[in-house]
Amino acid sequence: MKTESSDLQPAVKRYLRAVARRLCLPRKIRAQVIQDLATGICARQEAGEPYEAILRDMGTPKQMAQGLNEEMKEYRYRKSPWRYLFLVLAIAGIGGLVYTCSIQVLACFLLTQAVNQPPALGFIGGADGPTAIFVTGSTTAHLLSNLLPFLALVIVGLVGYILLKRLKPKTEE
Amino acid sequence: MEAEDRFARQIKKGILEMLVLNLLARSPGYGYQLLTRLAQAPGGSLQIKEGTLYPILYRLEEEGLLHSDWQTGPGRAAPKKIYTITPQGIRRLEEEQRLWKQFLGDVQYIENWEDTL
Repeated sequence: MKTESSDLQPAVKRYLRAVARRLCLPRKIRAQVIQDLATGICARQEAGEPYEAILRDMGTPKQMAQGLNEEMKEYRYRKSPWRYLFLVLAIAGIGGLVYTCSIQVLACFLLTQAVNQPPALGFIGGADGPTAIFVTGSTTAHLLSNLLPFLALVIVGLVGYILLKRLKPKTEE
Repeated sequence: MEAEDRFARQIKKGILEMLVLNLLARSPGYGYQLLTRLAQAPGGSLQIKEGTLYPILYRLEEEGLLHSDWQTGPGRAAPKKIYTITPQGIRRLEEEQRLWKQFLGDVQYIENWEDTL
């Protein structure tokens, strides 16, 4: 029953997409607004207005979106300032991951080198394959166990940041 | 000019809701129709854009003062969202019209009071 996107000119679709990108509204309301704008444009075209004049009259997508965001403040997502704390946690987690990976990879490399040294230079536990595999395998498990806390930090940080950026609007009591 | 624009915006903000309810009480309509009817006021002071009208319609519908329904038009006309006033909307309109008349009377009283000084 709604205006189909196939009824709209490409320039109108581009305009509506540009407005939608700039709207700071929940998805459902944003979709409703864009649908209503599309319907309004179609109605004006049916009344004989060319779409170029309609779009000029409506203002730039930025102006349209700014006006709508201003008029629909009570529908907008709230952004909690606590989201930056979670962002810091995520960044710290990423830093920890990079640092841990670097150290572990370096250690693994050095250990592997030590295992594979010619007899004249000495080696840990023997130069045979199983020993090298055992050393490498235990290093991998150790690496993963060291990475997990930082990975958890990144996930918690990112999820917290995203959730706190899109709090439901306050409703007046 | 900026101060005048601000004043005009403030007045518009206060009465647009009442005017939208008034128009829809006479007959159901869709967004563009309402914009056209408001723009027909001779002074041009009620000319508004979609970005101003639609939030008003959404708020009124959320409050239960309006009801909307998509209707197909004749031939190849695009479907339109038709707004209809509810009984609650009519009661709100009557209340706002009463307040508006009271407000107008008080404003005129003050203006006349200044004239007799």
